[in-house]
Amino acid sequence: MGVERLPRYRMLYSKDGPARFISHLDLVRTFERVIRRADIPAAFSMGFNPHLIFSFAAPLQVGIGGESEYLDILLKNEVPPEELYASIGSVLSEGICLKGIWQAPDDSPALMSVVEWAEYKVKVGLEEQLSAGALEGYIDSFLKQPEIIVGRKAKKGRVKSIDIRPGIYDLGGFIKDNTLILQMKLKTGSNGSVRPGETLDAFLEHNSLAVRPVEIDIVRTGVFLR
Amino acid sequence: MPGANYILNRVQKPARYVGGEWNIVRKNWESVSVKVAFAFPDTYEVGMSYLGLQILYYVVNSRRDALMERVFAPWIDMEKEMRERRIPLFSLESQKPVSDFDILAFTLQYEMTFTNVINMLDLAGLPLHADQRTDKHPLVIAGGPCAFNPEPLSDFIDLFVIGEGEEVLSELLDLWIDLEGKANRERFLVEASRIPGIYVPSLYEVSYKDGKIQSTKPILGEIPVAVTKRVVRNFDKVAFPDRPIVPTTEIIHDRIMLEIARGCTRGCRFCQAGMIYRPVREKSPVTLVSQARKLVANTGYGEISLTSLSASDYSCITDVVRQLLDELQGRKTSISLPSLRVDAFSIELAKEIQRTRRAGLTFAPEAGTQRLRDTINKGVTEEDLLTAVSAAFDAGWSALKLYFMIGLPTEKMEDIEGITLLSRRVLEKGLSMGVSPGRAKVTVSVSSFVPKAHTPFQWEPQAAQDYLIDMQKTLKKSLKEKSLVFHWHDPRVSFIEAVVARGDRRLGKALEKAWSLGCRFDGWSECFNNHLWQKAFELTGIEPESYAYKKYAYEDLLPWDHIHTGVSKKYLIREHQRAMSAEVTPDCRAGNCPGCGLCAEFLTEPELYGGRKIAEIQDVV
Ligand code: SF4
Repeated sequence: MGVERLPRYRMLYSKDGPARFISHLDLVRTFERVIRRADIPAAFSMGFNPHLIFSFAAPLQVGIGGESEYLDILLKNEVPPEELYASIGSVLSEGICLKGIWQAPDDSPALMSVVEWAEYKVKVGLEEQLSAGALEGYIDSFLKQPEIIVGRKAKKGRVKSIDIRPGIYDLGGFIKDNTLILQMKLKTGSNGSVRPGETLDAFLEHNSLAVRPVEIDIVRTGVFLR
Repeated sequence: MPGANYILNRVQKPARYVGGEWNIVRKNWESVSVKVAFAFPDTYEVGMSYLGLQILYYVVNSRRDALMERVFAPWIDMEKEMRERRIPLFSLESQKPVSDFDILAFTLQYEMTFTNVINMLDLAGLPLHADQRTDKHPLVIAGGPCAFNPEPLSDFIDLFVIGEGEEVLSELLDLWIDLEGKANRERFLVEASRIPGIYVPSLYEVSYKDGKIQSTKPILGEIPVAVTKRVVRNFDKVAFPDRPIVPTTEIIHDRIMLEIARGCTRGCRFCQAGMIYRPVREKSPVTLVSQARKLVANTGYGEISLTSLSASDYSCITDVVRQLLDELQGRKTSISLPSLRVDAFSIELAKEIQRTRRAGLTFAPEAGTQRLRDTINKGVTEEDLLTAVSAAFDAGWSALKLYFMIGLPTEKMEDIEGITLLSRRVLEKGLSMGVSPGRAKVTVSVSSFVPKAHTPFQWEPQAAQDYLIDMQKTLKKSLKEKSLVFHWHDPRVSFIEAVVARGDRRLGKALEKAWSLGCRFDGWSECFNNHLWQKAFELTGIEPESYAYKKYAYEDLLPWDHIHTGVSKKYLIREHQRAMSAEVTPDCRAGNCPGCGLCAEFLTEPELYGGRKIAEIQDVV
């Protein structure tokens, strides 16, 4: 195809504010328009409906912020990254922020296939006071379970039970002003992901913790590649 | 909004409510004299697909002394959250409550959004009735095609804008600033009613006798007896947004909308748009190419749609398409034409611009027999249609859509059968031309005729609902081939549409009742609840049949007679009579003026590029 030899650029960006509420599909569409507005020599696919050649690291669920997200794009020719940074940076929709752009090896594997885990910060308001010591105990007991079964919606409205314990790589947390802040390292990638929301729910349920639901905030702080 | 993240995570499509799109305008509230909230009484996806919103947004925000922000009807799930948490209706740009604005401006595109208008007033915390609102509340105004029969909403709206809003809205804002409208609401309304194109319903009184309208008269002197619509005179130079808002989430028409012409003079006798948007005005090719260039650069869209009521009628369409294709090739931008005529020329055009044949093509023969097509003045023969579909199949399309109406005036059984026969013939044409039976598909979409104000059919009753339901069933049964897909529009919705479209002031209480019983998003089949509507009519003592099924006499005073489109009643009567004898009336673009009266009224003539002229205007009955 020859497509492989086109220069590849990797962008690091964040997604918050109004952009937090757009779906992955909308994000793809939004970047397509951003790139067109930036008027950089982007490569297009062949065929009836030419489109830009993008590759995203890992889709983000609607409503979750992303602090360090990755996106690859192919260009027709090499352009100094500073130039790209300036042109793209000036035409981004609100809530999307370009944090860096650099040239990646032309033959690097698709981002999606090398994502292994992601890190999340989950903030939730607590109904009752909780001490740091107690929290540590809760986390320990949660992680000591041999399996953590959660229900996940499958096709046709059916609910499938799966064990998320092997996909929880790490869990830590602290309390600040009666807000519980959990840091999660969760399996993410093309062969299965654990979601921060279901992990939080399982944690709260396991420890019978009551929360003020109006104050839930989830941000993906990083996506980690193999 | 308190707990915004949490609420937004609980509703479908939260991007509808957050704003922040590319090219939005956020102004400093303290620095402007008048703040307008533009309200679209349907979802974000529908509202953002409406070009008029982008135009008025641009017009108002181009002024230094004014701002406009947007608000859409919250979907059922969001409404529930808002009511539970007492979150008032808010604008997208600044997330400020609608009640903080000076003016709340609705656009009325479709009768079935009227309960949403009432609902939005309520969600904004405003008194529903115009006469209950004071200087503490925003002025509530409305425009758009449905404002041409403003009467059903006259209880709720302070003032209607009749016709094209680009210029009159600015005049209205000037007056508001001059008079300090907020503090002088009543005086403002009286002064505003003297601006051409402004209708203030509270300044008119309707009297009835034996249930019939006796008169609609201004209650003060110096107020126009009738309100004539506004028309933009220099369409080529009129303000056009070259930085339209680009949504971040998918909308219905997610592409650049470049308006190439306004108005249509083909004169289909059921079509309200054809009457209210006259005269025909075209933008010059030079303007179009330069606007296209800016729009592509400023939006990043990969598709540009050339919009007008009938795009292939534009005088220099081939030329413009060619220039645009040249211009946009390098940017991999495609062009689309949403409205095509039933002819081979249009297919040629579609073929030239459509990179992908996946999208279907739609044709609107409207009626199944030649006699009925002549009655509605569709000006399309079976041969035209078959030539056009042949061209389409030839050009590689395998899926076509045919659009028909049932319940048209003078319709007979053979007209219904004609729909099946014609659809079958189209399919056979495709098969005979070698389209594989597995891929050939003809979608037959059938809706019910709704008589609309200001058309030659305004006097005609709608066909009985039972009949319409029966005919839909008959069609469903007879269109049984696998490659013929039957789509129908709920005749019960069309009935309410007809009631509202020809409604008068008395209907307001039924609309309010329907809303209070829970009617919302009535144009959405998953939301429409016929039972609630029937109950609303019952509880308010309104006989909906008396609106939908009424046959008016030419002498009868119609509820919208004090609203003028510029098209003369004499012409409408003549067209109605010609319809009854199935006589066609040619388009004035073809060179002869059949005398609709508009050009005389506005001292204008159809504005066409390429040097064509219309023969002298005649007014023969
Ligand atoms: S007055 Fe004649 S030329 Fe003018 S729009 Fe009407 S029909 Fe056409």
